[in-house]
Amino acid sequence: MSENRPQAPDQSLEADRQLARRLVAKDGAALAELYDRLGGIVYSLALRIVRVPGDAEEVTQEVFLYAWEKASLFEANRGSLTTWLSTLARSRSIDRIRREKSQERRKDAVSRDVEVAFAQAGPDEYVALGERGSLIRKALSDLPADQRQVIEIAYFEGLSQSEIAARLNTPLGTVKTRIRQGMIRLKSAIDPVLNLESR
Amino acid sequence: MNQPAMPHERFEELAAAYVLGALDGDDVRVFEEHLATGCDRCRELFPRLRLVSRTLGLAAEPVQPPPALRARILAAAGVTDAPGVAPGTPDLRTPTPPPRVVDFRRPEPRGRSFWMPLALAALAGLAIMSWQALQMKRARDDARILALESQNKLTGLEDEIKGLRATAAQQAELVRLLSQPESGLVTLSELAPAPGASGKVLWDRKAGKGYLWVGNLPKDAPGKDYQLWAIADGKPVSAGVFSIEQEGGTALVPLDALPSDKTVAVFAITIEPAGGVPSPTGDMVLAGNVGG
Repeated sequence: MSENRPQAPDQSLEADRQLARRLVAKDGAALAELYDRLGGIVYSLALRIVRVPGDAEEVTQEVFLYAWEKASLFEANRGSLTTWLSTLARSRSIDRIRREKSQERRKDAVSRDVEVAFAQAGPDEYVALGERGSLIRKALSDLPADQRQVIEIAYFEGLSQSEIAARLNTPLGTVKTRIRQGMIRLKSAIDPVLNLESR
Repeated sequence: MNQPAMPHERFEELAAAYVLGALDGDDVRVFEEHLATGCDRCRELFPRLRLVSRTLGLAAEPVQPPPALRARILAAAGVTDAPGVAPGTPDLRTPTPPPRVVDFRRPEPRGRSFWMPLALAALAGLAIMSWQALQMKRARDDARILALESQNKLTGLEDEIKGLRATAAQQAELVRLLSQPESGLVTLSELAPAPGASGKVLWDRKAGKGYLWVGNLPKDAPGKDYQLWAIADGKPVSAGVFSIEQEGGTALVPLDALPSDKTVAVFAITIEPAGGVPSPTGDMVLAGNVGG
C-alpha cells in the first residue's frame, strides 16, 4: 500500500490522538489548544446554520464542553477531530433551529449523524483545513445553482428530500436527481486532493 | 443474505442523500441493508460521498468568533485561561534542536573584535539554556499528564471492582434461586418473529423476584424494546422492559416486580414501543407455560 496523500496523514492522526489523550487526562491546556485550532470552524458552521451570533456562540460552547467531557469517545483511527467537532456543531445547530421552529422532524437522522461519524469514519480527512475549506467552497460555487441549492438546504438546514421537495415546490424525483448529481460532482472536485485511496 | 441487485444509479441517489442525512423513512433502512451486503462499487463510492458531506462543514464562510468566547468556554470547563496561540505561531511543544556550537578553531579574520568569540559563546550558551528550559517544560507537561492518567486509571479500577462485586452478588443470587425449593424455572420457546431465540425465567415465587435470561434475540428495531409479561389470572402484568443492542444478543434481566400473591401461569415476551406499555400490543417472540 503506497500512501499518496498531500500531507503525511500519520502525523495529523498522531497529533489528534495525542490531543485527545490530553483532553481525557483533563489537561486544560489541551482544551485551549483544541479551541485555538477548531474554534473558528465550529463557530462559522454554527453561525451559517443558526444565523444568530449569540446562538452560534452557545452552540460552540456546547460543542467544546462536550469534547472536553467526552473526549474518551473520540477514536483517531475512525476520523479526525475536525470531523468530530464539525459533525457535532452541525447536529447541535440543526437541533436548535428545529427546536425554535418547534418542528418535529428527522431528529433521529441528525443524532444518527453523530453516531455515523464514529461508527463508520475512516482516517481519511487529514488534509490541511484551509485547503479543504477553500476547495469545497469553490466546488460548491461551481455547481449549477439548482444542485447547490438542494445540497445546501439538506446540509445546513437539515431538511429531508421530501421536505426539500415541498419547500421548493419541486417533484421529489427532481430533488433526488439534483442531490445525486451535485454530490457526485462535488466528489469529483475534491477527490483528487483528498485522494482517499491508497492503491 | 442475498440482496436483490440495486441499479447503481439508484444506489448513488440513496447514498448521496444518506450522507447528508436527507433520506426519508424507509429509504434509510433500504440503503443500510444494501450497504451491508454491498457490491464493490458501493463500498468504494460510499466513503467518498461521506467525506464530501463531512467536508461541507468547512464550506461555511469563515467568521472569527468573538474573542471573549474562548475565555468563557475555558471557564465553563473549569480551566484556567491559557494564552491563545495565534495561527502560525510555532508550537512550543516541539523541541527545537540545540544550535550548532561555534567552531572556535576556525581562523577569524584579523581586526575583528577580540570579544566576538566570547559573545558568540555566550549566545550559544543562552540558546542552549532556553532549549533546556523548553525540555524541562515538556518533561513537566509529561509528568502532569502521567499523574492525571494514573488518577484516571485508579478511578477506572475502582469502577471495575464495583462492577465485579455487582456481578458476584448477582451470581450468588442466581445460585440461591437455583437451590431454593420455592423457586420456579420456566423455559420460554421461540415464536415465529424470532426463530432460534430462547429464554428462561428463574424466580422466587414468594418474593416475586428473579431473573430473565434470553439469547439469540434480534436487535431492537428503532423505537422498540422487548417487554416481559407475567400472565396470572388471565391478565398480563408487565414484569420488565429490556433491549437487545446486538443482533442475536443475550441479556440477563433482573426482575423485581413479579406477581407474588398470584400464581403465574405463563411468561411471554413481546415487542413494544420503547420504554414499554401498560398492556401488550406487539408481536410475541418468546413464551412458556409455568409447569407446562
